[in-house]
Amino acid sequence: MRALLTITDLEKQLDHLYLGPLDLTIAPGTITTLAGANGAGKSTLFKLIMNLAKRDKGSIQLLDIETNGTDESWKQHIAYQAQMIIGWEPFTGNKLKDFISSLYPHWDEAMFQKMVALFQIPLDQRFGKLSQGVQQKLHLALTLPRNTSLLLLDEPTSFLDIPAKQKLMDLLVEWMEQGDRAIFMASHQSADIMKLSDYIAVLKEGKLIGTFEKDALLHSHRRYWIKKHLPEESIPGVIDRFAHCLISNVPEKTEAFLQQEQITWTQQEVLNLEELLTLLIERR
Amino acid sequence: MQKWKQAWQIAKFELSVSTRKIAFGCLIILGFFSYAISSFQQYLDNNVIGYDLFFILFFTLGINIGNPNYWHLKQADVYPLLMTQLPLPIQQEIVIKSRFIIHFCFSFPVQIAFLIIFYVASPIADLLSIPAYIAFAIIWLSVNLYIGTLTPISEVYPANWLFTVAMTFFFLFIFLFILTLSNLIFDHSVVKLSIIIAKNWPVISSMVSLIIGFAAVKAHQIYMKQIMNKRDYF
Repeated sequence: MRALLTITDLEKQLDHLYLGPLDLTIAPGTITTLAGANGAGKSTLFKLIMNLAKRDKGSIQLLDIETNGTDESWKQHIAYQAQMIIGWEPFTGNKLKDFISSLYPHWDEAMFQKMVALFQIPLDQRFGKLSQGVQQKLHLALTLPRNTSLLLLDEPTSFLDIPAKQKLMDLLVEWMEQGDRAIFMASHQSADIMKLSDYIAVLKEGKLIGTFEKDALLHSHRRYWIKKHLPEESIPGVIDRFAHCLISNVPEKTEAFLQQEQITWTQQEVLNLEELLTLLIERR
Repeated sequence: MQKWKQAWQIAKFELSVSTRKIAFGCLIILGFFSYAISSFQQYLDNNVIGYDLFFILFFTLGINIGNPNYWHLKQADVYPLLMTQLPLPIQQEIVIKSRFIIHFCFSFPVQIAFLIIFYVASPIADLLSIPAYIAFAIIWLSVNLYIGTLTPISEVYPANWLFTVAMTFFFLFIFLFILTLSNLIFDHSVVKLSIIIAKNWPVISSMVSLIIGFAAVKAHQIYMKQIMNKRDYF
């Protein structure tokens, strides 16, 4: 199946960060979360995709159209929700809706009205007068109904309350069910990632460590609690160890070694997503 | 023309919330009106250089000359509303044209109003016939086309307060240089010189002004596009 978004050999020099070389593909029917520490380059990558930042090298294609070329039709196929929005302050929700909906031929008015009711967004108030949480809700209500092939969300739940987060998750699932679409989002919220993502792309200091299938990633790492002291020598698959505890990213090899050395473990468990991401992001 | 129509639809969005800004700008400009009318005779007698400077600034910036918010926004890295429009499916060319339309809406109406009041209320009617005054008006409205259209470009120019101050001094220097040169070579200040030109060569001066003006509008759009395609929007 044709990829929605293809990033190849992307590089960008920033003041304090060198982003790339980076390769990434987003296929239809998938939700990919971009995870990484603050300043890892997540928002910059989104701005590069949207051609709001200029790449130094490489290619970014949305449905085979280069996003920095003369053909600007790719913008019809992508809806971008930036982390920060400036410039909307003087406009009411109604005015913003009229303006934005007129630019998208497949605007889903029913979905917009549903989101407005669900999030209780006052459309007659100026954007600048709304709280950060309501601003984010309105921003989302003006993004999802654009009915594009790709949804690019930069921290979509950062200011949302718990019930609103839950509602958004359901809306995103519903949005995905409507066709060959994909979501590419940046998030620090492990609950969002756990519930929604099919893939997790981990970015560390501008470099893409890898794109992992979520369930495979969850089962790829295991923690073992050992009764006696561990041997000094290196243990196959072990990526982190303490006095009576070790973490392995190749459990089969680690278990085989421990059995061979007649070292028994009292308990073993899979790591939760937060622990896994911390490990991936912070491991040297 | 179709693209200008599309750009007008985009510009209308911003204009719909600009009523207060326009009203406030007009209020400030009223001060300029009274100064320009009451000091005109004194200017003709004494060649006051400040009068020329005010004329050039007014026909370059329109109501933005008295809008403190405008100067504040110029210190921002990029015009805020533009940031929200760039990711939307609007062709870059349309976005650029819409910025030009916004500038024209903030300048031409008040400039035309001034030119009408100026003819009625100042002694210029004694110097210029109506056809010659139309040429005078075209000469000055064209200033907006070839200098004023640098204003939308400044909205996308990567800037900070230092840059803004530097550019302000640079343009001030250029304006003063033109004014001084006009006095030295022609022995007349700029506004007086434009009166003489409009009186003696109304058709040619109008045509030349409009040709330069429209060429500049075209060139400035291309230049704005080049800047937009080079810079990052963080």
